Amino acid sequence: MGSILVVAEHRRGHLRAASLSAMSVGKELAGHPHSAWHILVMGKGISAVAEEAARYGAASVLSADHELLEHPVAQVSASVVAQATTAVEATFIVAPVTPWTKDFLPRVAARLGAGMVSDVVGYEIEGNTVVFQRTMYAGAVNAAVMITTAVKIICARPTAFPKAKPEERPSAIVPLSIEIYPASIGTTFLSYEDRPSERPDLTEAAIVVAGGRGTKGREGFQLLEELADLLGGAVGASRAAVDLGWVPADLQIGQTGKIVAPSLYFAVGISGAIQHVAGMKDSKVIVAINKDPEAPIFQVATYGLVADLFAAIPTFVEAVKQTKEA
Amino acid sequence: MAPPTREIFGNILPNLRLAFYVLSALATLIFSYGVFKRIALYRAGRSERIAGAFGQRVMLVLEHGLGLKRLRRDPFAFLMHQFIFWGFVVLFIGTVIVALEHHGRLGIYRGPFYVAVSFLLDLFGLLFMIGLGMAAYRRWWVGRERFRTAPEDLGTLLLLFAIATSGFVLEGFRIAASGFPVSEWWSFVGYALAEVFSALGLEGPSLWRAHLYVWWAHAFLALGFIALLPFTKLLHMFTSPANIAVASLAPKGALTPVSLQEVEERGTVGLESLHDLSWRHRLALDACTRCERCQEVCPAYHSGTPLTPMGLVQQMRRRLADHPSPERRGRLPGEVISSDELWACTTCRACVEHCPVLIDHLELIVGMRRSLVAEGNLYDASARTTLTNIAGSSNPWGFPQEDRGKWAEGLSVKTMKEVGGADVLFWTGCFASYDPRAQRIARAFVKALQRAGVDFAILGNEERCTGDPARRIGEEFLFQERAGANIETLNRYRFDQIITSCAHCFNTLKNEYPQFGGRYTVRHHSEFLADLVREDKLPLKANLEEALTYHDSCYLGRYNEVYDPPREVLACLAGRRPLEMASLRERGLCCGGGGGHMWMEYKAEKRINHMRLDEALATKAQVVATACPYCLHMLEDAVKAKDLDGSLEVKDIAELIADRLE
Repeated sequence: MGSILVVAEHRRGHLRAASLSAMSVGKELAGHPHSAWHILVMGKGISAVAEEAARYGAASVLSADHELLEHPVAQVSASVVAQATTAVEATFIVAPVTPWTKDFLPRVAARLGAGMVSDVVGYEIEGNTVVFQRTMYAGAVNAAVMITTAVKIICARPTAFPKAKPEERPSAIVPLSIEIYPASIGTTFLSYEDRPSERPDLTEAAIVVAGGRGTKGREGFQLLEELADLLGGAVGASRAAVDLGWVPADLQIGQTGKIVAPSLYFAVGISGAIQHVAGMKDSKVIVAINKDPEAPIFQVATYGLVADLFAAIPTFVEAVKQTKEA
Repeated sequence: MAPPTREIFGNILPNLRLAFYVLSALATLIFSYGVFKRIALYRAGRSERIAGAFGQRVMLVLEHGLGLKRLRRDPFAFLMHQFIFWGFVVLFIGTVIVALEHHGRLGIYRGPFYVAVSFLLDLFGLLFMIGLGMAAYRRWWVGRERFRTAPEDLGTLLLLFAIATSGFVLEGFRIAASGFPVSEWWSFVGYALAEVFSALGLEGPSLWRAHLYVWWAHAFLALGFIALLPFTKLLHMFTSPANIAVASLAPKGALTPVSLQEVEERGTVGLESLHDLSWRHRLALDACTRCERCQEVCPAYHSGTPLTPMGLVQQMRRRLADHPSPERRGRLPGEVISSDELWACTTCRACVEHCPVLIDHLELIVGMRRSLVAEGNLYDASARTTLTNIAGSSNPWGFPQEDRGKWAEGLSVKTMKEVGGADVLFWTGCFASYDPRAQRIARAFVKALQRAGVDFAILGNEERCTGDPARRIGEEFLFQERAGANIETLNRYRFDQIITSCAHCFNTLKNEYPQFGGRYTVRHHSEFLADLVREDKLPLKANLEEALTYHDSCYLGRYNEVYDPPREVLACLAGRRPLEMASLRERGLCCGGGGGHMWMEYKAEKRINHMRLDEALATKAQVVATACPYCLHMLEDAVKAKDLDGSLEVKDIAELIADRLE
């Protein structure tokens, strides 16, 4: 059996959390049966990222540092991953589900004639074969899938797997010599526009902090954003808050809007109209904070707090900060 | 003295008469060709049987065809159309009399009959021209903004105007040339013109020469008109009454079911291509006169979506005209009509209610939606989730079935399962069962029922979604499955009537379940409450002080003509009639929640519920009374979005009653 190659994604000089989940998958697959696992980082001027990646106990970190890798272009990324696969004779390519990997992994699969499973949320190792679970139809169905090709590509849902933990012994960093023919790139990178939000995707976040009309406007939402960032969660909103123009429509949770089911859901200043509840009722733990003890949201809440959110949220934020520091 | 008459074909020499007959034959030939083409176009459509009821259909044509029932809402347009129509009919009859007289040598076109016909022809000819003038005034002065005028519209009016004018001028020349016979005084328009001509100094032979030219001009125009008729919008004088005659006689609120057998035979669900349009659909497309009444009342159009009911009909009509043969040429939904247009419809039925020629736009829209859904082209994630939930959990939100009856806990409400039968079955509906807000409607209604001593029971956890949202979205078979399951449950129990507080459940139970064998007496809670109030079974406290306005639910009002009972209830509560919004009853503006819109992310420039709330605000009422949980939800949503709670309340009529019970 060949080795395992984990494609790591980085941003602003740091590994993305999603990559750590892919690493833990790669690491575990490497244990059955025992084989080596490698991390591929690509970009321009990425020595810091390579060093960061070297902390997770891979056999090596392949560093593809190249002028043409400064910006993500699917043709180039695909070619580099294919070359790295050959270099370490990998039979598994593992990557997190992100817009970046979605862009080029299918190309890698095509280049290598490899089978690919996307949206993997779990797997079972049965002897020499691995059966993957993937979600289909927006989570309505789970399919069990096997790959029969020699090289196998899997794209793992970051929220479905634990994050890899740093190990003591650093991995060796191996510069990967790659060949890129600019003439063969059909795409030209034009510009990059940063979205201010660094928060996880609403439908995939493990923690969602949602606000309604009780937030009274942008300032109230800033409190929720602070809490969400502290917890690494996403921010959501009720339809009323969206209608009032306090937050963009893509944050709307509900029957019309996004349907979420995080482990922890904060409903802050949300009365709990049925159309909203329908979009979050499957959350594991629901915490409702509302001034009105009659608010229907308390009927679905696991924990309810009748309080003014402008007093409760700052106190809670402080408490979380202290716990984190401790 | 010889009785008054006139010589037919006077002044026209025999060989010219022959030329006239040749031209007439040519015009008739072209006319017949055009009509034949239209009929072939309809016959190429899918076959469809229409239910008999001959007498009812004759009445429909009299009422809507001759009587222009729906134009009466707009008196100017009504008079205009009546003038043109009856003017045309009388002139046509006059021409027929002349032809019969001439060829049948009847000898009746003389004496008092001649005078009477002459008078009537002039009178109706004048009305005809007044009608044309009104049409021009309406189109180019008052309605400049409203109408989009095609060259054809101008051409048609000018042609008719020219025919009428040349007829009068012709008459004037004849009267002047024949020396102003006294009997011609009754042809008052022609007589007046004759006076003018003679005042202008025309006389003798020059008058007869002018008469000859104008006679030919009149003949050319009239024959040209006949030839052109099947190719212009004037064809509606045949297609519109024909469409009215074959209109559906089913209850307004019932959509036509699709059977699996039908799907197997045709290989398509709903209206996928031109091939799926029946002869009746094709005729309906041709019946459209582009009067824009549908568009004027369409909330989707006014909220800035791409949908206009008239545009939809015209688009389909054009496609059909371009591809008259029945093969599949492209898809209707997605190609001829964009899916955005189809999903923009709230099924409020205002277009259907206002179409003077009884075109059923909804049948076309839902037909195409059915095709979209069947082909997997329902891309709205929220709507898909809703359908999955209705299929899996029997309610649109996916709440557990075992929680359905929980709203009634502690109210000592019996379930049918416990009692087996009751006078009244209170059908709660998904909204009032699960939505904490709408549960208050159910509790309020229960309070009223208990106070009035009504023997009633609910289905509780045995009740399931009626399937209305599924049917309106176009998931016909999911609807039929829901209907089947509910009918099976309902048939297990004894009851006299079903009462429901949901306008959607009401319409489906009443009008659509009979299609699958579920025949019950179904009434809306507003009707039932009005009865209780009328019979003094609900002791009410002193008059409500807040000013009320009432929002007509489409599925209650336009679908089922229940306009007055909720207003009666409110009048009893307040001691005066509720304030009325700018649009009410048949014209009532939709809340924006029907037709699956409650469950879709459809984005428009304006929100329909906000538009309706603006109408409510304009009445200065403090309470908007509703009779449907969809409307309640949508309007409350608008109140919240405008941050108006505190100044305006939205309440169901049952809640208002319960609040005032002694």
